[in-house]
Amino acid sequence: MENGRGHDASEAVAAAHREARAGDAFANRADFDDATRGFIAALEPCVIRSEDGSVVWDGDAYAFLNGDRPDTVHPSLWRQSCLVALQGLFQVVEGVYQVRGLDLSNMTLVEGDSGVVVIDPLISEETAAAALALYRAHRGDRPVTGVLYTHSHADHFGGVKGVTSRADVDAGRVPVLAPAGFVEHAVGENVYAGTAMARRAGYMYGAGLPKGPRGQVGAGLGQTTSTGRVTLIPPTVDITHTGQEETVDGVRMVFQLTPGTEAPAEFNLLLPDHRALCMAENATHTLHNLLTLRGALVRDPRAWAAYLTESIALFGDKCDVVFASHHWPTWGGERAMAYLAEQRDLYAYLHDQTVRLLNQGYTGTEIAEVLRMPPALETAWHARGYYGSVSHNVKAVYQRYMGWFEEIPRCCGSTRRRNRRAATSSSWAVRKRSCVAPGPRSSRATTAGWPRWSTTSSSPTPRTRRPGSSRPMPWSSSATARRTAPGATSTSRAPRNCAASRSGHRPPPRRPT
Amino acid sequence: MIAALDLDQLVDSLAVRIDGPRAWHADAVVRFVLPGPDPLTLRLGNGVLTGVRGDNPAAGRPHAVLVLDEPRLRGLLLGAVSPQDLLRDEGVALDGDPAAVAELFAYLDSPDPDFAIVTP
Repeated sequence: MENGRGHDASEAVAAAHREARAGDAFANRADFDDATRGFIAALEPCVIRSEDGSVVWDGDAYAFLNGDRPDTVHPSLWRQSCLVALQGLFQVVEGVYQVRGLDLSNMTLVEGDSGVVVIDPLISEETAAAALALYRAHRGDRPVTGVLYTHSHADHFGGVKGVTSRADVDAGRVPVLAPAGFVEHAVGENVYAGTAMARRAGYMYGAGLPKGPRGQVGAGLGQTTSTGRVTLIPPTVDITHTGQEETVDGVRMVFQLTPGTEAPAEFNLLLPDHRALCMAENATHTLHNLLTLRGALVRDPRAWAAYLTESIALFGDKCDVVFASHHWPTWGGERAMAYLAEQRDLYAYLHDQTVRLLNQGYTGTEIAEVLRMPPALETAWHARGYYGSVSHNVKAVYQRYMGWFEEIPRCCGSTRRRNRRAATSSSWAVRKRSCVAPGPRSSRATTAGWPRWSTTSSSPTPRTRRPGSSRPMPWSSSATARRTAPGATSTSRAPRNCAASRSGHRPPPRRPT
Repeated sequence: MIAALDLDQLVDSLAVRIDGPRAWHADAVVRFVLPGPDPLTLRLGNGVLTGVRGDNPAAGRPHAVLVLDEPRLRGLLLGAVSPQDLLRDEGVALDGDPAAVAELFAYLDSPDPDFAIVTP
């Protein structure tokens, strides 16, 4: 294939994908109609660069989606990426516009008396500026007269300095509205465990993979994350309660506060004069994760479902279109409410059924193996797992209520370390010293070929070997590439000293034979 | 402790007892009109029991409307009185399909307070 990377699909994979394509679900093109409705113009070329010329967003890299589906990609994922990759400026209703496909999220622009109010300025300053420029090229050079952050995730505020400036905000010319608790959560959620989350996020999004039918095809929620400058201007107006009304530049807004749903601080809002409802990230065209693969606090699907019910109750007869900060809008009052009700049922069902079964003694893993969604939800395109899965969400609900422990007492401690010492600071110091004690520099470049042990003694394969060779992948960091280059030597001191200090139970690693 | 639950919490505690797969195709909407201002509407659909307070778009069109007081409703939600017995009660007025009331409670599953632990 191009780039010389990846493999052809095996016959088994190709056949499974062909089978998934069967049935009449794919004949339903309503999502394609909605995703292209109101199209005004695309960004051409769709390559956004930072000041130093490096590419922070490359929508054109997904041009391969215009071709036929290759055997390597699941048809449902291919379909979702075809929809998500559509980029450009779209009209939602008169006076409300969206720029989609220029980042993981959407930027919504609501025209006011003298300028335009921006809802959710994307991840990066660069993509946000490009989105605003695209809007202005077709709707006139309106000043930004207000900014809203619907919630505390970076893809909904990071590009703020691409649409306004700190000076304008400080001078009171541009109010910034956000849900109460926004700053605390925007900073807090990703900081304490940030290193581990960032490490895992690289694998969750695959942002470093080459784009193509054998590489990165999409991220479900959006195509991928942009890599420009993430900025933050603290909000000037807190939204503290449901029913709060604000008017910015003549744009009337009615808020519904939804803390503890998709984000710890989040709101939905109605634009009553436009009869348009913004659902932030609380209702999107995917089954959303309740616990990210990268790691996060588990979200509360019970509260999430209850707030979706409340959205229908508050705004169901006051809007003709529902849009969100990801994916495409849903037009038609009844149709939009049916969509919200199905999204509600989705999270409620996951929650209620997991709780029912855990109360009967099933563990999270067991429930995840058996739980199936109701047929009406299983066939709804917007209820499928493009950014989360039934299995992982079930385990998340279990974790939320019961924790990781699945009632196997021996799992309370490792069976490996019989002579464990309490991990006091002094014992750590001893270990650390022994770890760095002088020893022969290992000529080993990686742990490839070394034995590894299962963490549970019940494993049918308690001892396995790491893969015998280790080559840098295209997306490997430069450090990994250096360590795994032919002839490289490890800079770590012989780890067997560490092993020895651990009571000698773990045999010293041997080089592969 | 159950006596301390408000109506919404009572509904939530029933929702986690619905046997989802059995109730996949159930469709019942029942409105309970209480002496207070806000009626309570229970909807069973997609295997999910949802409670909605008030008369609004989320409540939907009920198959049955019951006029009753809160103690009787609590009795029903707590399982102290069956839907059939409730409908025979003189203090309860029904308008609509009595089968919808029965259907709401037809898919309840019970927790197992004695499930095997440690052993498989």
